[in-house]
Amino acid sequence: MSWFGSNKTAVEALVDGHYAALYRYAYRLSGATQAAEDLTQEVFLQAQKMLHQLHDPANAKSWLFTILRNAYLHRVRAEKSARFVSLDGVAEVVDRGNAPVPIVDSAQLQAALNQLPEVFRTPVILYYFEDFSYKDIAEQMNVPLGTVMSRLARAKVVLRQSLAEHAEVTTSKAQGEGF
Amino acid sequence: MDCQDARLLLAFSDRLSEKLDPAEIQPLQHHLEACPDCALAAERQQADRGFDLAIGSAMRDVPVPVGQPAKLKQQLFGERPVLWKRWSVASAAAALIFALTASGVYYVNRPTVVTTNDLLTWPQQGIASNAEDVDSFLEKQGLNVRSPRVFDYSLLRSVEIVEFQKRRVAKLTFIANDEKVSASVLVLPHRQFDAPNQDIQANLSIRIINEDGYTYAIYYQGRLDGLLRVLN
Ligand SMILES: [Zn+2]
Repeated sequence: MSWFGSNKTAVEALVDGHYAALYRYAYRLSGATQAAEDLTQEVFLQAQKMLHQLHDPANAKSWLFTILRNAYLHRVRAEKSARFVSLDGVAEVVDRGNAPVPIVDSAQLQAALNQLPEVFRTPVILYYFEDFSYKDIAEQMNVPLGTVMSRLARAKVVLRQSLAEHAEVTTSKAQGEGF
Repeated sequence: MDCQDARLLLAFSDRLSEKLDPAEIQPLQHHLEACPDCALAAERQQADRGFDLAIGSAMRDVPVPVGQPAKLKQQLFGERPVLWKRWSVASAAAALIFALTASGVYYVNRPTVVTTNDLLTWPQQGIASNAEDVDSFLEKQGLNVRSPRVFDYSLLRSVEIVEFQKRRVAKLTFIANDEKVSASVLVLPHRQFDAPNQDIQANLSIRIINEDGYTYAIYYQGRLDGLLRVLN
């Protein structure tokens, strides 16, 4: 380890610089705070052991995110009970006319994300974190760029639909509860 | 430029983290002027920007637990096996009699010399089974310090408060069951001491560890590894 003096300093710098982002990612992937804490912790434990693999500190964030996704996948493979919506028939573009932009809250968004299969959920999370390029996402997921873009487009359509449905339900409920 | 390239560039142009090559912008403009389909896609994308902003800010709206990073660091470094396992502690001296710190003399397998300190500290011997217990014991004695986490506290023989450089400091003594390995540790807070950071090879080897704001001066005999925690 040469780039940061000592392993300890390096790992400390990684924790200081990336804990929050990794935790958010873990939370969005898993949908639960405890799982997010555990996953984030696991990432740094692994990073500490594999630090020699990180040659350029500029790649640290992508590297840590990749470790996190692998750790997450490793976990969910054990529990196959989760049910997801199918995106097989989803077009990449839908005509929304003048549909208003829904007001999205964090929990609502999580509920919508939880329904997406992981291969769609991951790019959409990374996309909205803004600091990753399509190329970064493709590398992290180890798929071609085109695949990322197509999955992203379809995932966004499903997200929009599911958030709009939620908004409709909320609106009609609110109306029903009046007078 | 064909439609496929135009759509790809449009997608890229929407991202803060992507930068379009200036050389690509003009051909794209030309294509959009000439191609109603792509122009519509561009318009739609512009409209989607509001949706993206709404989702984006909700996506990042995840409260991060306070104190977790600090706890994690403690876990990462407080229980680190690697640093310690590398130690090759080859102390040739197999003598069972050895002097420990300036604060006292310790004899094993001989008529035991009992100091007043021994008598004073006897009641806590065996009480503390981990570093946290020792810390809270010392805190009750008015000494707010952090004991080294790397030792196996089931081998803790005594906790004392001794005078060192005219200050009260904690001294922890660990002895393995066969009594061939022993170590006394002076806990020297950096806020009070500016200690050297090199190991000292003398009759009794002294290992110096600087960690978490403390210098731990470890006076040891035998293989120090025998006193350290076995990590799983
Ligand atoms: Zn076109």
